[in-house]
Amino acid sequence: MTRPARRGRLIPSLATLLLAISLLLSACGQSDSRAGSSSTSGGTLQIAMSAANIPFPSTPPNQGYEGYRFVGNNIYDALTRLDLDQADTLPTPQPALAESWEMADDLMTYTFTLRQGVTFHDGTAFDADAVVFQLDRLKNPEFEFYSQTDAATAASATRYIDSWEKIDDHTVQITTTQEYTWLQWDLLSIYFPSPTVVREFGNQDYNQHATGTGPFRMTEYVDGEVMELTRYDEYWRGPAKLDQIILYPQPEAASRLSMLQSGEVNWAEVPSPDSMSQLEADGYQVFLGKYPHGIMPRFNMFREPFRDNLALRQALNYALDREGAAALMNGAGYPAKQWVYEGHPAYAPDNPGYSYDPERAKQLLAEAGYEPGELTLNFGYTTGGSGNMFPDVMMQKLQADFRAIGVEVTLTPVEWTVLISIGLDGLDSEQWEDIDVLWASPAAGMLPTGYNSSFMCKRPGGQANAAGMCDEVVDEQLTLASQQAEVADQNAHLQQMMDQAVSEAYFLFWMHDLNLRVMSPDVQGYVHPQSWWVDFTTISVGGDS
Amino acid sequence: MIRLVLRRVGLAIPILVGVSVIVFLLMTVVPGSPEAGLVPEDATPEEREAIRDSLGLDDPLPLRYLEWVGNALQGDLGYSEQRRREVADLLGQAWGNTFVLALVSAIFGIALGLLLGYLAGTRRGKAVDRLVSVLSLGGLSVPSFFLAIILLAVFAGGLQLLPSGGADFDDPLSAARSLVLPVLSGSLITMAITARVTRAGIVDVLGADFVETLRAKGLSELEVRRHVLRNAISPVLTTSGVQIGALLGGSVLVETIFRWPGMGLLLYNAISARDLVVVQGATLVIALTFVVVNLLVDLLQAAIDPRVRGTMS
Amino acid sequence: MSTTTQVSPTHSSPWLEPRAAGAPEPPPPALRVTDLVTEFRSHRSSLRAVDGVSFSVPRRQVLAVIGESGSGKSAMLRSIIGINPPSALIEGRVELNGVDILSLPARERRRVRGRDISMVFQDPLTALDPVYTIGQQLVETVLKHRPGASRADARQRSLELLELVQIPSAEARLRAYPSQLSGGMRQRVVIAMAIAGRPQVLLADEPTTALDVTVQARMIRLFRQIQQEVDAGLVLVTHDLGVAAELADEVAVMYAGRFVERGTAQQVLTAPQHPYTEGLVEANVRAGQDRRPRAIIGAPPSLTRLPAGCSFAPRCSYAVADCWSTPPPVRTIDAAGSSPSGSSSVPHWSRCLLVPQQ
Repeated sequence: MTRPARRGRLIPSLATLLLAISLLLSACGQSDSRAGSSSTSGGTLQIAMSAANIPFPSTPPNQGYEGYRFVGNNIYDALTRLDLDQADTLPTPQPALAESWEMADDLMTYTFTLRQGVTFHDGTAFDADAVVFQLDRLKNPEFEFYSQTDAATAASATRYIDSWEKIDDHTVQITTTQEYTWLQWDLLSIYFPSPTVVREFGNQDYNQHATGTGPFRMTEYVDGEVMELTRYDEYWRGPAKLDQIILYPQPEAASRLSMLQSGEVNWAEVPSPDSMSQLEADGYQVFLGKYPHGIMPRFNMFREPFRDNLALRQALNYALDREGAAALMNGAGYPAKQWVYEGHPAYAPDNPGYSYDPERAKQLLAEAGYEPGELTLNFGYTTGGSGNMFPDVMMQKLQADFRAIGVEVTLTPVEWTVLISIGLDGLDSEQWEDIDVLWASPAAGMLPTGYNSSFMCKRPGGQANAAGMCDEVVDEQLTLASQQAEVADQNAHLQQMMDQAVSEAYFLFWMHDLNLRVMSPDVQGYVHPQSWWVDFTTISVGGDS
Repeated sequence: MIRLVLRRVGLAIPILVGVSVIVFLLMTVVPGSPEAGLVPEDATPEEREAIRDSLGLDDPLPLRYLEWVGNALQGDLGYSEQRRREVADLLGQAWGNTFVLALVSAIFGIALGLLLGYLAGTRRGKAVDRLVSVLSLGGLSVPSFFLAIILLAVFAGGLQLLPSGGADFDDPLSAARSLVLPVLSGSLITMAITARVTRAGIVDVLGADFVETLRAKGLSELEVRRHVLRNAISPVLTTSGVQIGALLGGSVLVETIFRWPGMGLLLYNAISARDLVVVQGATLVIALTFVVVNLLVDLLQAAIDPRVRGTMS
Repeated sequence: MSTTTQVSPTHSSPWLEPRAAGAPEPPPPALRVTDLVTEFRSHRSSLRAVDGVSFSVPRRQVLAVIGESGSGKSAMLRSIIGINPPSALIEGRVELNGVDILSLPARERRRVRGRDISMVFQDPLTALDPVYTIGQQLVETVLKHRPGASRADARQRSLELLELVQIPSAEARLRAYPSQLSGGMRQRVVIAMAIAGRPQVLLADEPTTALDVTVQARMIRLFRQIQQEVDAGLVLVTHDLGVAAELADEVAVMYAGRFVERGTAQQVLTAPQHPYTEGLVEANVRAGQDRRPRAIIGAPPSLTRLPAGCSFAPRCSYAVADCWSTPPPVRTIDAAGSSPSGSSSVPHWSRCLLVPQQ
């Protein structure tokens, strides 16, 4: 491949030089200090996350659900957990640190029986005091170890909790602020750290010493670089198979792909969809599957043109060539008819939802009172941030689709932080009132408690209503759903809510994410669940190789 | 010389103050709230207010700035709620990473640039010269992240010769291996600029009258070129100073692609998160780095070139 | 070619101490140049900057070469010492003490350079390396030609050289950078450097042009003195006829790469026989009389496209038809008629058709 540089030829081409240097360096051996450090049965799972940083091992973690997925659920347990070890149905809350619970007839008083014999990674016992300690930490500003930041991050999970009380060492009672049957969903995200560790290091330094009861304990944590999780052999569900999990943050898709191909990781989140077929041909395991996540932009319902103009909202929904957009991302997305996918408990089975029908779109546009070319929409969207699929491709496609029916789109790209800020400020705030349509990438229907922020008009606590959507039927059905003792009844109300929202076209029902994830062939026992979260206890690496 | 150093340090103070004021103002003007990453998307106004309050975001601007300056003067750069760490701690880690990368990149880029520029300048119009001019043009026009991705795909993904990233300093070998790709992509521009400036300088100096004197004295071509190089080095040092400063500021793209958590990435993430204390601290460190590097370069230049000495004192 | 001129070894110039009659046999000329041709070739065209020049200079003698800029004077000097760019093609012989240095291998030729033959350049402001001290540059030169010498010796020698060129407080100057010295001082340093190897031949390319008028006279005196001191032959290129008159034993007039007139300084400058020389003298005299100098009409010809006949013909007010077609012959001037002293055996000649044939 290269000739040795001859004397007298002073400079070989740069490429040859670079190649020579790299050959030289690689000749010295390829051992990666982290790879294969353990030779016991379960192996080491090395993961290239799409997050820009290692999520904090705090309670709760940051980096959204990626933080819960890789860090939170592995280090910690909550009173409840999702059954993530199956792919057939939407995972629902199961007993975890709470062995069982009872909801009183008032639909407000919950009594939790705690699992006995559970110990934190530092060897201390998990008990009712640990539960009270953490709820104080998140809900009681008077508490010595109250954490303002954790409280803020956990706010949506603790919002309906009114009071909590230790009954005995293994029993805790929690009451809610109103009739509320979804507490076990909220409790999924309330992790329990070792009170001993929190007391010892304080809230500010806790992250470096994160200690929970989960299947893995944190054995190394370098902020921004790497986290090493090691199997906790005393785990109450029985020890996990893996010896270790090593997490690397890598927001750049091309780099994640290289890490996978070079064998530095055996799990890569969302590689570029273009690489899918090649990866499959090379023997990698490529996973795609419906899960509760989609791109569902919101119309600015505070004002014209969308307020009181159903025909326009519908017109735009019919104008979207979702199949075309999905093809542009090599099938890493799935066209949305409703806010949730078909087969989801909240999917309205009798509502056909929206499909691509430009003729109907043009007709509806005319009904809405707009000539082709008359309407220009300002579309605020984010160019990055994990969980936003492929905004640039999608927005270009949308622009073309809308132009085809005579609606122009002005693209207003913003940073992810700004998009979140817009959501908090609301489209009626002075700063953002020019935006007509706002990008949204909800974890659509992962938890029923998540519908509030997207659907509800008058919310408990008075959160900002970002897009100004206000529908009495939706509010009523959602509230009813959260107050049904039976899951079937809850789902029935959710379906009615969905039916109404879809018929009224409050959203641009656009694309479901298929959760593209690639692993090397030696990763075994992985289940691709209908969730953002993953059960890592079933996974092993390189069992028979 | 001491006076010069003192004067420069004195000059640095208004620069640092200016930079920090501008950054502070910009950060408060840009859209997006610092608490956006700390609260859930359905946060109530009260919840938002509580966290804004704890971050001190609603205090009057001058007060917030003066408070920051006061603490910074006492060596306290603050605590980042977004990163859950002391700012000084964050900066130390990031600066250390960047320093290693920048140092190796600078040495590699400048040395290679000097060599290429020298070869091109002394063989003006020859094939080497044309090759170098293509290389340096390429170096200036190929975005470093593009090269980084290509290098990554070829050497890490494809040939599996080198690690795809990470600052692995466990032993010299792994450190060297993990440095190769980031250094290659990070030093490209430095290499290109140095090569161009060196070539121009050499061509310029080779045309100077004193070169004839040197040749007429009977010096060998090698001895003549020693003179030429020392004369041509001054502008190279100037650009090198800027380059080293820039390298020490960190490159977001190279650091992202190669998982090399340095200043660029820290600053970028802090800006994205509207993490004011980190942005302020990082800019301060970067500005300070620039001042120091430029001072060092000027001192070095003065040591090499008496003409510069004349203009400085 | 028949243009080679022999310089009489017994010739004396007005400012030389007259030698006692019956002095020993004259030494061979320090420098003998024969049929020197310098051609610059590019893929487009070739240009003959020096077109068959021959002359010789004994030790202690001064040959001044005068002419307009672009006549090939500088290229000639550079070809002699061997510092023309690599694109220059040089033919002919350049003998130092009878050895043709053009045929020497590059390495040996370089050894000759600066030691046996050295050069002083036009602009002292740019002729020194600005980033090295005077001392460093002198020591480097001394060491170059005395490989065995210690640094201390070289430094001592440098000091002597500076004193030789009459630089005050030489000790301090050694530590100075060129930019800290005046133009005159720098030229002295350049001269000191040129004589560091005790050369037999000094070449000087307009050594006073860049200097202040008041400094020029002193520099000329220094030149004369130094040259005698080191016992070297001097080839002085200048366009200043005053300098030539004051310093030179002989004068050669160069035009379009050739010598067009040659003789003793007095012959050439007081009784020019070539229309071009006449023009130069005229222009110079008028300048001296503080009147607008009458420049020679027209510009020197392009060396890439020389006329078939006399290259000066296009600008010559005496030109006749034959001048345009016939290359002018070399005509020796009747010594009695043109040289009042009559003592010189240097033939005074001119390359002009109009000079009567003898």
